[in-house]
Order: sequence, then structure tokens, then C-alpha cells
Amino acid sequence: MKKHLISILFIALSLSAFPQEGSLGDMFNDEETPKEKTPVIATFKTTRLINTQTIEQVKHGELDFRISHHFDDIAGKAGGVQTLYGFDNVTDIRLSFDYGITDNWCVGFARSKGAYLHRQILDFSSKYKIISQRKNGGFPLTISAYVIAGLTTMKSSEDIYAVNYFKDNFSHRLNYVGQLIIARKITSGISLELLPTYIHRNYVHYTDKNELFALGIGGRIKFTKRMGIVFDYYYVFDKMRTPKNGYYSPLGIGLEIETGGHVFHILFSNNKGLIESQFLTENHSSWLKGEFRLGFNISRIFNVIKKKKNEK
Amino acid sequence: MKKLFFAAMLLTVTTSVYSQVWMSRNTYIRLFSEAPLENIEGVTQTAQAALNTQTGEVFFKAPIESFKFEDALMEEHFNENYLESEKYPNADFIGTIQNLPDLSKEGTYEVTVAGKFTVHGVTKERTVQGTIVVEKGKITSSSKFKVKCVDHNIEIPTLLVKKIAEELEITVKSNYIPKPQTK
Repeated sequence: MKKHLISILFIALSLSAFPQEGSLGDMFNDEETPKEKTPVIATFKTTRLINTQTIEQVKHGELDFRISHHFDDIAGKAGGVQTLYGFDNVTDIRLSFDYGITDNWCVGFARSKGAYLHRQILDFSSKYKIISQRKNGGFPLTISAYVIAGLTTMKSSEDIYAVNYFKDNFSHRLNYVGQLIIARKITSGISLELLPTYIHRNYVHYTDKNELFALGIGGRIKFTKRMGIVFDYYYVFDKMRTPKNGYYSPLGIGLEIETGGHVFHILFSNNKGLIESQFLTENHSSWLKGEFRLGFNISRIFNVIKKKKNEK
Repeated sequence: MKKLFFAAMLLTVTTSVYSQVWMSRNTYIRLFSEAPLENIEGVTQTAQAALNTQTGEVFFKAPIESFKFEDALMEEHFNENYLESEKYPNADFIGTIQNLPDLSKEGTYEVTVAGKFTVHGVTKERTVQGTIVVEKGKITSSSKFKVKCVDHNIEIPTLLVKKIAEELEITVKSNYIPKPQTK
């Protein structure tokens, strides 16, 4: 009996005298410190790859000013040394302002030169992040929805059969594109996205369709913290839009460089136009014929509203 | 036998009330960078801290992602470009109080803590000054020290040297509770 008593006492004492064996940090590895399913950040560095949108938003209170710029064909009929490999011409230039209303919703306004039948285009866009990819077994994808409406401000043609004849109907000037953007940050350096896309153009040539569907794919491979390769490609589901008929899928590849607040893309792409309703429907330039071009995207973030400071 | 058992139980319970291990799940840590063009402040309120009043061991751990900044882009750059939180999710400090006072008595004690400080995957031996206050059965601690980015392989691009200080000021404040007894 005494033996029992002593051993019990001994155990009790030893337990209480040394409640902590090992590291102090181990006691936090319990159910009170759950593995948080925090959202994955920075799937992409900016709101656009070459031609496609990314799932990224302009965050609350930030304004993204962006200049996108495509030169003319490097080689082929329009390129070569005579035009300094396309430098003589700017096929399209777009100035855009995107503002973050919340961290998940931004709206944009832009003006582009326009590269094809419609020119001098104003566009209005909105992007909403529906769900975020999360760590530690959370949701595996980030999904955003993007809509953009384009309005051409060009002078109407006198030719009643032309697609830029707007005289009797203002709505002929309008085009819409809506897309879902589904992305995954696979590793800290590799991100991929898919973009099922719906295009509606109010006024098209009588042999053409108002509605088209396309699927885009885009991605980024980082090779340093601030530099990476970005690329994107679209396939348009339309029997008429084949290389045989002179239509080509837009394919862009570029170098992404980030310098704290600025993001630059130095890119090569075969499409002339810069907004979805243009480059998805009217791209007649082929990489294989040398009809690709140099381009730049420059994005600068301005903080319009600062967050409230954390105080204690 | 029963009596003895109860005595033993009582003994364990009473000893555990005067716990020597104290913990904090809401430790406040503030990073402050003062540079000619911009001051940057990052704050977390969810760092962990622990203190053994008998042995003088201390422990601090801060999830990098929990630091909040005044704009989202700063926060993204902090995680993506500087601290690389996906590779190195936590910063921690494990050390021992060199001049351990009797923390069972109320008072304010200046202490020197020496130990290993790990940020961005780089561990440095550091000796840091701090204050421990014991008051009404509560323990709080605070400390302020500086960390050089270069010591922890945190590169600042030459373009941004006017916006980010080479040396950050770190402020740590913890309120401890006795470690709850586990079953």
C-alpha cells in the first residue's frame, strides 16, 4: 500500500514539477491553433497577362493606371527593316484606369485606338472575385467574373452595308464580352488559368455571327521573385474563323518585370487589337507569317485610399 | 487508498495553479521601416509567445502572413518579394532570460534575453533587451529591437532603397496567461 502511495505521489510530483518537456513552442500545436485556410495571394502580379485578364483585382482604394501598346508586324509584308520591324506603326494603344471598390470588386474605364473595323473605342469593365483559392485543404481554385462593354465613338460610315454604319441605331456601336476566369496557383512560381468566354457584338457583317464562344488559357512561370514569363492563348469556337479563312488565334508571350508598384510586360503577340471584342473576332495576323509584333504593358498602382492603421 | 489518491490529485492540481509556463496567443508585433520617401508599418496581433518562469525560457512565433499593412500591395510585396512567406511561413525567437528575476513576485524587471532569431529561413544569435511586468497575477512583456534586412538575406532592390529602410524596428508586446492544464 505504501508503495502505491509513494509511486502515485512521485508521479504526481514529477508531472507537476516538469509540465513542459521539450520546446515551449510545442504547446501551440494543439486544436486551439487551427491550421487556417488562408486565401492564396498573388496568383498573378497584375490584372492582365498579355491579352487576357487574370483573376487578380485592383484592391480596395487602389487605382491601376495602365498603358498597353502594340506595334506593327515585325516581319511579313508589313514588317522588316523598312518599317523598322513594326516600330513605324502602332496598331493599338489602350489607356485604362481600374479602381478597386472593394478587395474583390473593381471597375474600369479605358479608351483604345482600336485596330480593326471598329476604332476609337471606349470601354467599361467590371471584375468580381467570386471565390479564392485557399491553403491547407481549402478551395483549390480562384474564380473571377469579368465583363467588358465596348463602345466605338468613330464616325459612322456612309455605306449601309459596312459594320461601322451606325446611323440608324446607336446600339450598333456596342460590343460585350463576359468571361469566367478560373485560376490556380500551382506552386509559388507557376500559375495557370482558363477563361471560358462569351462574346456578343451587336452589329456584324451579314455572313458573321453576333454571338461567339471562346476559351482562353494563360499562365505565368516566375524565375525570380520579380520576373517571370507570361503567356496566353485563345481558341474561338467558330467554323468560319479558321486559318484557311484568314483568322488566327491570338497567342502572346512576354517577360513580366515587377518593380514595387510598377509591372511591365515586354511582349510578342500576333493580335493587333487590345480589347477582347476585337482580338477574339478580327485577328488576321499569323505568327508563322511573321505577323507578330512587339508590345508593352505598363501598370502603375496608385493608392487613393489608405487603410486605417492598426493601433494598439 | 482513496484518501491518498485524492491527496495526490490535489497535489497535482495545486501545483498546476501556480504554473510556471505562461502563454500568449495574441502577441502584438509591429515592424517599422523608416526611409526617406516612405514609412512602412506592419502589425500582427496573433503571434504566439510563451515564457517559463522557472527556467527563463522564452518563445515567440509570428506567422508572416498575419502582418497587416496599410495597403494591400505592400502586404503582397512583403509576402511575395521580401519575406517569401510561402517558403518561410513563420518568424520565431527561442531564447533564455540571462538574468532571470523571481517572477512570482510583483514588479517590473529589465531582462536580457539571448537566443536564436529566425526570419526568412536565416537564424541569427541575438541578445535582446526587454521588460517583464508582473502585476496582480498577470505577466506582460515588451521589447524593442532592430533587425537588419541584410542579416536575413532580405534583398532590397537598389530602386527601392529610398522607400525601405535597411534596418527595421521590431516592437513586441505580450500578455500571458498561465498555460491551461491539458487532460
